[in-house]
Amino acid sequence: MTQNAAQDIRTDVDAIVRRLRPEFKGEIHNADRLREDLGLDSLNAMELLSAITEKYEVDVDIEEVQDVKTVGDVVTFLQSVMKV
Amino acid sequence: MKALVLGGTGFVGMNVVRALVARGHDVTATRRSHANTLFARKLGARLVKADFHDPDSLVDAMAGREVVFMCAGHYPRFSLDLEAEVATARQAVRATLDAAKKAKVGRYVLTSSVATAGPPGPGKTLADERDPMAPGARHSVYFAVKKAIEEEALAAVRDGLDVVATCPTGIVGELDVKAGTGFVIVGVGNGMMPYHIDGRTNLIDADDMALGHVLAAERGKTGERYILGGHNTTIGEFLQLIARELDVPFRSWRLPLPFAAILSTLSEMRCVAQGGRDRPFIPREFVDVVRWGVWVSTARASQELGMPAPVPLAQTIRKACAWYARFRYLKPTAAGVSPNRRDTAKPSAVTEGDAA
Repeated sequence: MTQNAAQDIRTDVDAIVRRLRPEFKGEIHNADRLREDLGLDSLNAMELLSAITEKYEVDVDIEEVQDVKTVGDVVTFLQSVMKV
Repeated sequence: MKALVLGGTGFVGMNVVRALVARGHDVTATRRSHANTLFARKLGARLVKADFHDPDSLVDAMAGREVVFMCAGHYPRFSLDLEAEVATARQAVRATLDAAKKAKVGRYVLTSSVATAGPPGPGKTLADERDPMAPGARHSVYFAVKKAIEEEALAAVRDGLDVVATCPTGIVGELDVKAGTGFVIVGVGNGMMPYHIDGRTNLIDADDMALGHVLAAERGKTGERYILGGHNTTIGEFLQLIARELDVPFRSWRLPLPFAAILSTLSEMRCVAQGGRDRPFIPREFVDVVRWGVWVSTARASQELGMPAPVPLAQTIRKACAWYARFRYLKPTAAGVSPNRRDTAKPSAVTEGDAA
């Protein structure tokens, strides 16, 4: 996984977050927590992970998705799944 | 059969997909562009994008399908504007009916609701398919929407469409991703239900509900509706059974229904004023469902569809609680079913993993 690929994922994650939370206008950081900092509820968080895993055409264990808490976690999780 | 399930990422739709796939049918399911497909992707059906606002997408999805399961009836998020919600519901179901006619679908199975039936007529203790909705219930947004959808669908029989309607009671089970009926399980399990309302209800296991849809497609009579029910009980008993299964205390004030109705409407107005993201503390539709709740007879579904005896209620609740625990809707302190205790429920015929 290249740095560029990781950046691509981040760009996509940011776009999905802004679609889910159009009222959120601030910068998005890797350390931002999906719920507490970005205001995504648990269903929004699942939608984010659904959208990003569809975009990259990866199948995931839904229970593993539950461990994703931050924007950085999403990127790391997706990278780990794509390496398998 | 070659089946299409409209609403393939919803609670009812996913359970119907799972039942069809488990029986070897060729299943396609629709999803909206931004739907959460994490669960639906694992059920073994092809997912295609379709939307009521794009009639061609519906016709394309239905092309070559023998049976369409309409599990995507409009569900009003808030009970505040009856006319607008009914209009939206009629528009959506008409779009699917028109598409079914164009695609020459063999049978259209509508997921209606037990809300369209009852109370029991004179001399009966249980409501059945012959009992019309109580006149007062038509003022409820939820009930009016369900009635409108069913009317539209059954009226299409006159145009030559083969329509059968199912009327499920309160559905409890797996794949309730948005915690619809299951919000009471999450509420009791997480100690977030300081208030509750009580009244008559009937509960059906999601697996039984899905089987009922398959049987309605195979054996249902054109233009008929079939109540798919399980157990006549009360909300209070349901809540106690959940608390017992989860091994948590259940301390909750019982609100009088008229008071709950006012509070729920005010709560929904507050949610809308704040952007519509939050959930009301008690949804108005839930108050209405309890207010107009009836105990039902499932004789017609048993006799004409061959519905088997329902899954025992305790087993249904156990299975649902285990699902909510597995996917962490329940805090680990709901000790009866923790995420680490997955052996508490008899698994469904096909789990997500099995069907993938």
